[in-house]
Amino acid sequence: MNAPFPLPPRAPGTDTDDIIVVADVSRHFGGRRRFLSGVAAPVVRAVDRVSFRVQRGTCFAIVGESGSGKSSLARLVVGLLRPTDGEVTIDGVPLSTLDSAGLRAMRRKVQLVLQDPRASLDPRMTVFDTLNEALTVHGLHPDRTARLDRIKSVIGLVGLNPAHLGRYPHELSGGQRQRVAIARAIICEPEVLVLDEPVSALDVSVQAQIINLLADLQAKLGLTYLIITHDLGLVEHMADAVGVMYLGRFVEQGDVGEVCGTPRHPYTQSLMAIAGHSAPISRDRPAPVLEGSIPSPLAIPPGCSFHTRCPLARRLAISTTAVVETADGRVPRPCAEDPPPPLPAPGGRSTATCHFADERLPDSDYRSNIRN
Amino acid sequence: MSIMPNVLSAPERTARPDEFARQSRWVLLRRILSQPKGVVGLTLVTLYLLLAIFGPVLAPQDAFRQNFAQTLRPPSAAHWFGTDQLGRDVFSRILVGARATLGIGVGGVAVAFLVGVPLGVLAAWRRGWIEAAVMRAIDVMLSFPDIVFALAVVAILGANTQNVIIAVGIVSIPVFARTARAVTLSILAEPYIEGSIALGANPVRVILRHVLPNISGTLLTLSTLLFASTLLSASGLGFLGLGTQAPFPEWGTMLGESRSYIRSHPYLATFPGLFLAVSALAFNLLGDALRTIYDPTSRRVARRAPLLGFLRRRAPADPAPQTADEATGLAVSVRGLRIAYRTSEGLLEVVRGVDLTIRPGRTLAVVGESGSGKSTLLRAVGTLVNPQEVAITAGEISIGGETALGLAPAALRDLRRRKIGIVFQDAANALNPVLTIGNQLAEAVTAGSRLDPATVRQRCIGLLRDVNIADPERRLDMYPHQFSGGMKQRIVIAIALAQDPEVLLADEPTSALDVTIQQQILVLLAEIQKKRGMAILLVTHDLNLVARFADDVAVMYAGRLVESGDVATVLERPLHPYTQALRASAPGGSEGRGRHLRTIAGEPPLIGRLPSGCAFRPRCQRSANRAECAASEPNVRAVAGRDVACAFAEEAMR
Repeated sequence: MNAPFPLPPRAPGTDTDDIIVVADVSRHFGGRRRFLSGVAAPVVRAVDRVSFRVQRGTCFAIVGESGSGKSSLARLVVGLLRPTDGEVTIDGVPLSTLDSAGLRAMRRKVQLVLQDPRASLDPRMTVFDTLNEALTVHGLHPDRTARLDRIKSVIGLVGLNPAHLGRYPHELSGGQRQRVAIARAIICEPEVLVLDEPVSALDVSVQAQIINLLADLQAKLGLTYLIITHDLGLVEHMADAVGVMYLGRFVEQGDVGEVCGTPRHPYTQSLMAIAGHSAPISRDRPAPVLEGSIPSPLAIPPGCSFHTRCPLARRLAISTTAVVETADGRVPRPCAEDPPPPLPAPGGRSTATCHFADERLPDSDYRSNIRN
Repeated sequence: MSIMPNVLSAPERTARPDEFARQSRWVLLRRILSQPKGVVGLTLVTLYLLLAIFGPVLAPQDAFRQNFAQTLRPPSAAHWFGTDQLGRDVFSRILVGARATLGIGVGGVAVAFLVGVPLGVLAAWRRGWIEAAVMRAIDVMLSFPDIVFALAVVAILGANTQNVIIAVGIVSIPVFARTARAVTLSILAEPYIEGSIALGANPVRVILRHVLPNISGTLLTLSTLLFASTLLSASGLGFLGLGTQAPFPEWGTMLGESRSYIRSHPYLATFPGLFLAVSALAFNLLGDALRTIYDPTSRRVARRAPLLGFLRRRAPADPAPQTADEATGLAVSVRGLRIAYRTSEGLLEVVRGVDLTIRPGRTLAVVGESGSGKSTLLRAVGTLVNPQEVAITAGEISIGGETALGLAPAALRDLRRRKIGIVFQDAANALNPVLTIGNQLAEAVTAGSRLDPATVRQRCIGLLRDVNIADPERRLDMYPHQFSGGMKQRIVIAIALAQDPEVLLADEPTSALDVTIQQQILVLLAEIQKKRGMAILLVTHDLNLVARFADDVAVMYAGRLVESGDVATVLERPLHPYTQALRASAPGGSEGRGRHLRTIAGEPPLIGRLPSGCAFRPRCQRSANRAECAASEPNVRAVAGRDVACAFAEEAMR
């Protein structure tokens, strides 16, 4: 259980300019006895021993289903949550060394953009108030005219104009609201933007505008992005590196081209098969399906947490001898009993946490047999 | 790059360049006076305040002079409101008592507010043992009747007006604290609070800038309500001789004193009672007006169903046209459908002439963005629109050969039950949390027919098997919260299938689900469709889902179908510029990495603010200010194997 989870090795040829370093970070919720009732809340391992690093000016994506812990991980990086274990280092400063005031000051460097811009802007504040608050909080541009200039330049940077400053959020369209949320995030000249599902609440025709805007801002301001998403298309388009999360852990992480192009973990393989599946679910040829649903984080399966749904384990159980019978079918013994170690890929550009990462499955095993 | 601000999408308000400067007090006053309730409330409150200040000066007679020759006199020219049991002039006493009365009301509420609200906000913010301690203390306070509690306080502190204020204030603290805690908790759960914390704002700032303004509306309303009950508590104390001490007048005390004479001399209670009631009303009105002002979202125009709207419902259509569809065997046939919302500004058209047909066993996907009218269209086909809110102004809908418009409610229900199954986006809300899955399935199975319990149970089990739920016998007795999101959506589908419908309507059936679950549900639907041969009308915004799942596609923009036809034909070579842009703007694939996505300039148009001519014109690259596009809405015509509504559709084929 206590196998070391070292930071992934630096890819060859990169320098050491890592702005985010997440080292073996865990975050557990619950477990404390409740006041006056004495009942201990059950422990949820939302994030479990995650390590990754993000180089300055690049984009790292965290992919996972709901309940995978990806949002908790984002909040650990922003400092909204404190890790139960491990260390998050931003621009060389370990967050655990900061008190709450220091943490607030650090937030100038790391800004969060939330999914639903309708909900993430205070309905009682005009666009001007929202942007002005960000400057007030960090004491920037105390001079009134300089402040107004800054606000006007940022509102232009995100593709709005000063006429929008007097509006309330409900008077803006979805795309405009997300632009305001982005403007609020960049107005204090941060180094890192953490984007939590930045486009999934928007209309399709507006999504592309926001994605392009984010790309332009990254190039113009030299920002580092940490994107939380379930959209593999967005990951392939924007990210340089990716971590695939399942039940609080990275099951596979590394270079986007490697992870998305030649996934080695059966979960990533399933996700990629589904995302890349655009042919009709024809009535004679089965479509790729990953059976079952993500287990409750209150009861994470022992061994490899993916073994309850893993198509590779099902398949290997037929050919190997060391097999155990579980509630979800027969799987190889290691899958059900030992947590898998991280296995680097031959080129060293990605790591998969799977006992059998180098066994390949014929494509057909990701296709369900439609019962008749 | 097309991130230029667009003029069309948001309602352009009259430019007020200085609007982001703080509102001055005069603006606030003007806003109060712009509402009828604000005018009445403010006027009355002002009058009461004047009364409180100048009352003693204005009193025509000495409010304390007793005259035992003239006790309990009815109203007269000398004594406008009559005299009381000691022969004092009631009118003068009311004028003199205004100060004490309003002082107690305002003071009591202020005490309760200033103590209760910080306690409640603190409890919500800190949670943990502080919250537990505060809430237990409040529970203890609430377990005493108000008056008993106030009595105890006055008994300890001594009876005078100041202590009455403290007593009635303390009595109201629990209400304020509880309410403040509850509303603060709900505000703290809002993403913008997290956004502000992530911005680096300190807790004091978050509470002052974001929490308090957003809970102020509720607290203002509560204050005005408590103003009335505070006066009543105070009058109760007065009645027991612990309030404002005689001979000083106070309305509550006067009301209390008059109770002994309520049968013989009712006017004695009438005037103090009236002044009390009107004062409570005045503060309520003013509070309501303030709430409207401080809640910018409440100023949106409310949609109002017209009174007697049912009279305007369409007359029953001729039963003639149904034979035509029966001959062709269409599961769904919609012709020339126009749907409008009833708003305070008149009818607002959201579906503007839609034709579509679905054959049994086929899936038609309607693709569009928010506001395109796609969900309204689906609801109309499902006979689910509320005639109070929505008017079907033209066109025909027939389901399985039967016309679905102009039916009596009972006939409509029958048609819906027999022929239509519906799956909405949010499975969590579609199931009743307090009924077992078995109960809810049984309700759908038995609708419109009598079956013995064993048969019903067998059918329910069969339905759960159909949607691939393992161990259905045990699952029937479970409640919705015991299932995952994907399982709940399967159950919703099972309920929709219970009556073996000819048409399944699905409104974004998978967009709330994770990708792996989404795929499971789609495969399941395809499998069920293959088995049962029903038609599916799917509404979605996801073109990739359409490509995987549908046979036919109809792209909807601003209430019209701009391009429709076979999925392979339309998606492989779209002819309408909107379809083309939708196709091109999806991110994905490593080949386009880092490059700019093709975008559609601007945002989807707002209902009721459509441009002249083609609705897509302002965002269209093909249009380029051509006169034809502005002149008239392009007709739907057949081009290269699909129907398309663009005057220059052929240009895409070159």
